[in-house]
Amino acid sequence: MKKKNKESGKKLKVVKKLAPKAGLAIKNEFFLDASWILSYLIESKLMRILTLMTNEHPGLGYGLHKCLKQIKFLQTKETHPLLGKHFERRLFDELQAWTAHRNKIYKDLIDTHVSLTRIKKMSEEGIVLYQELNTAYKKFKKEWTNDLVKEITSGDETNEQTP
Amino acid sequence: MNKLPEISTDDFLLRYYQKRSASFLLNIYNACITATENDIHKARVDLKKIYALLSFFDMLGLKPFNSKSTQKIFKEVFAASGKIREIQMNLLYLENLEETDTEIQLYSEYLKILYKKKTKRFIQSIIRFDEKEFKQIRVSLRQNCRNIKIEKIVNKCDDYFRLHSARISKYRSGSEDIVNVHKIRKEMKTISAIAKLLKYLYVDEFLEKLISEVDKTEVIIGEWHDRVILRDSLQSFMEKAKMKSAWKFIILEKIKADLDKEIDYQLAKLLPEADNVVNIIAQATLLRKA
Repeated sequence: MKKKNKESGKKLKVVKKLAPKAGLAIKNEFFLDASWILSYLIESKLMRILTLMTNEHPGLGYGLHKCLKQIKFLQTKETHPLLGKHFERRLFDELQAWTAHRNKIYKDLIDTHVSLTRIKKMSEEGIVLYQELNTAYKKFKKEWTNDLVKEITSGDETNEQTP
Repeated sequence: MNKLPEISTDDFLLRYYQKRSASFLLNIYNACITATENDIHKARVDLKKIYALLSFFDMLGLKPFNSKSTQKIFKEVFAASGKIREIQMNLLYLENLEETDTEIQLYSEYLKILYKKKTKRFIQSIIRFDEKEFKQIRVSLRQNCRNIKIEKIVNKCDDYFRLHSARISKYRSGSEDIVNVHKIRKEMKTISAIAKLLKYLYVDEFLEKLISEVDKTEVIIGEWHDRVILRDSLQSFMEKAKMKSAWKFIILEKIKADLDKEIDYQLAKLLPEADNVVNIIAQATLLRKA
């Protein structure tokens, strides 16, 4: 259990370090590299949402596309009210569209020339979406933690009452 | 009471600049991706410290330094990040109202669209930010920041405080309109930045008192500024909406009226505090002797 905590802590540090790297890539106009980092950042954020929702880590087999599909599924099933409250359906749709657009550009890179403007636009859109996801996630996490604390404390109170 | 750093003044200033510039670059790249309030705030604080340091060198009369021309490198990044922060503060104010009225939702949506536009602009400003010129500042600092005596710094700072406090008095004697208060705010910020920088090199009773008074004033000025920005943004939104449709805003007009009251209240608190800062600077020699 201890080892697991250490690993997740390490991963969190990596994610925190990655954001400025993506910014540096943008600054130096390495938009493709920035989009890779962004994809990873979005994916790890979605994984965290899924972990909170299902109480277990989805595992390495879950890529960006699969995470989005699973979250949308959970949202439709209305398993957790906070998921619908803090995340707009539109955001996940836009993230899916962005992923498809990103994949198309990656495929086009093999066959034809892809203009820098196209890659730049894709990265910029990714940043905007990541920011939106990040803001929504923070609010979601805050309320989720508050709910958890309430649940625990109310549990303690009922335990105290019963002899 | 006077405390001098263990390393030489020149070394200290150089190291301080290097630390701030490294932190600024890291925070600005981070903010360009995450754009969280905290990251943007951190980057802007670093930049303000760099500005203070540059005007400090300018004040000391280091030859190649003209703080205004050097500050041009950061102008675009500073302005673009400032716009994002303003929108974030406005959204935060609306969130704290905890009202789910259509008018407020409409205004929030407008702010969110604006936010996206400003984010793209911020990214552009980061791309355009000239890192070579930024590094050049450090090089010229190394060449020119030599043999600066602490006595010279203290004397120059005293002159600087007196000059800016005279300016505050001048704006204070004028009308109490927003432009004048904004000017007072700017002067207060420069005094605060230089005083805080001087505190690292030299400590005395006057400086302690000045910093604590300026800090108090800055908190009120900050709150006043946030409200002015929100009121202006509300005004511009309502004007734009009215041009497109015959929409009547009742809730937003009420919020604006409340903001007007709050602004007047903050102003009534703020101006006497600004006078206090001017008084402390005028009593500098007395406080030093004490």
